[in-house]
Amino acid sequence: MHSHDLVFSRSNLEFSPALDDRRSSALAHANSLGMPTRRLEAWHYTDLRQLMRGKLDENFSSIDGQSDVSSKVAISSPYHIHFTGTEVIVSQALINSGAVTVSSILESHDYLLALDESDAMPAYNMALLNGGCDIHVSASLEEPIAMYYSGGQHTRHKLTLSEGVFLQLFEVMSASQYVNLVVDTNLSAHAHLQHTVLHSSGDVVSLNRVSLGADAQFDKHIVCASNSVARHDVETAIQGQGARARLNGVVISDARAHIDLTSAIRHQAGNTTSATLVRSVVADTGRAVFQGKICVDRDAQKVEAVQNSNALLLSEQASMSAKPELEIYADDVACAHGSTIGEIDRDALFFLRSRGIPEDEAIALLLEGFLSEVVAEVDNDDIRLCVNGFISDRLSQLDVSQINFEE
Amino acid sequence: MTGLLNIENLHASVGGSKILKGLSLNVGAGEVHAIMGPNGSGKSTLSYVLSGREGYEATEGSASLDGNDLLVLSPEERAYVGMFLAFQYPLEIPGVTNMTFLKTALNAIRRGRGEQELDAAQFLRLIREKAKSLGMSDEMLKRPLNVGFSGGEKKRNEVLQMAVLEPRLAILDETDSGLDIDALKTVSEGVNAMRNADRSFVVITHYQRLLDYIKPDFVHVMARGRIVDSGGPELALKLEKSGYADYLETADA
Repeated sequence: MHSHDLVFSRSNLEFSPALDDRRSSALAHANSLGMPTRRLEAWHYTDLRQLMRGKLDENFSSIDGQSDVSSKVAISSPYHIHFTGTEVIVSQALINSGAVTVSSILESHDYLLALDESDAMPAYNMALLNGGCDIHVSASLEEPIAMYYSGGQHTRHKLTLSEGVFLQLFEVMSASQYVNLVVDTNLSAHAHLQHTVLHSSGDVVSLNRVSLGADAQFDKHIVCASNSVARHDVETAIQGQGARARLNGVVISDARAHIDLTSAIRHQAGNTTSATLVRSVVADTGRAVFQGKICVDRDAQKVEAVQNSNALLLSEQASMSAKPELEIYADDVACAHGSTIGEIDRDALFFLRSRGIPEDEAIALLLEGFLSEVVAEVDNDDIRLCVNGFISDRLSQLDVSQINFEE
Repeated sequence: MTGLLNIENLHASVGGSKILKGLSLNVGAGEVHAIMGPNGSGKSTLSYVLSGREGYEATEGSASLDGNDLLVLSPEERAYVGMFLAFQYPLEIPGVTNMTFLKTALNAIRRGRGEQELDAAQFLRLIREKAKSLGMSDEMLKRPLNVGFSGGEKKRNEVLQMAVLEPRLAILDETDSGLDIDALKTVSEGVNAMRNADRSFVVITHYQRLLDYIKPDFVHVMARGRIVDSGGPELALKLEKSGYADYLETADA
């Protein structure tokens, strides 16, 4: 941290009476619902209440800090924001870039007062909100903005890209504490956001709501290899003609991990496309969930949407739940989805071993190949290298002794 | 008995059925042996038993390469003592580039043979030179292993792996299948370029055609799980005319 960095700290949290009221009612509402359970369809495979039992205190903070097993993941961009749990530190270079304005979300009264969070998790976020940023990008940045989370918090961001603006955003979640994150993203016409999330540790529940204007482009990559509870929800509303959305997921779920990627893409305008690709490797007693919903509104003609989920299970106890859903009301659209759950290919493994590659190295190579097809779509070189390094590291830590083979 | 590859009375079963039934074969250093035979005679099974594929277990007899008992070694250990199998159907491995695969394999083998690993620059020099001699572009090296390769490109890629890994014994399992004449020539030239006094080849094929390009020192006929006849290159020509009918009857008897 430099002396000229912009710092918002938790100690100076002050809310206007109107906002205080809103927070109180959000808390009452959230408490009446409680954390979601499997009785809610959207949470059927992820009983959050059960999974988080005993992990949080009455302030929804982690009772025990979880050890951070990740190597420190970071890129070299001068534009970064750190979330420590008590402070938000914005790098001076970002403030001085002239392309971006960053302010504390707690000052964005109009935005906060206009919200009516009906679901429990965003309502808890509203009620317990203790930080976040209102980021407005008015000109393209060549280097990515990196956001690093190292502490637990109820964080919320509002991210707005002006017309025609290009931004790369890299979020690294390696908190040792529980994080409940809400990000509201708005892409104006012709704006292009490349948003990569790397989640390496800590229990995280996140919700990203995105709206796309005409010809806007949204590329989201979620890379999650946490030994804890993760729910990453992305709700994409494609509102403008010609807009394109791409959602990629890479999941490595090991012992004690429960990783859920949930996506809902709604095509509200014609001539729009979306592509979803999720690859999961599940080892030991790990669990992974992918729920992918594609809706095409009645007037949204000439939509192309594809969705694929592929998983490899490395042990008898590993489990994967995949739930694709298509809801199509228009008649001139091309939508396709596919889902596979399998094991490591024995023939490929023999081939590699016959070339001298030891079994464990051969397995790591096959898994890396399986996941790297997704990572290859991360356009920024720094971020892609960082993600690939992280994945190799995690794969090398997997217990492959109980490996399961395709017959 | 002092060959590079010594196989004595080898029996093997696959999924409970006996496929190899007392096969013996000696291949001397620097020799090229062709094994021909009808479908189902056990030719591919022999190649898998020798290279250590799971499910292809020897039940009796012995097989050694350069004095090393092959049957107790893992597939990768067999590669370290010099075994190489060129696959009939080379596998596609998405997401792993040809280059990464070759580097991982070469360095694993060098480690296994007690040699120094190559650094990136040394490897690049080596791979470029070998690829060039096989008419393979840089682009083919950067592509995922065999993904989107034509039949001929896949077989050329097998020969490239052989050239990089420098085995003592290479088994070519129907390398001619799926190849047009031009590809057959390129692949054969690649194999011929590797022939030397220390390296041996076992060429498994149905057809005489491949043997016009890769000239064998010995030709064996395999039927019903064993070698039933052996001779010089002229035997292949005879087979091309008369087929395998005689041997099937003999083996039945």
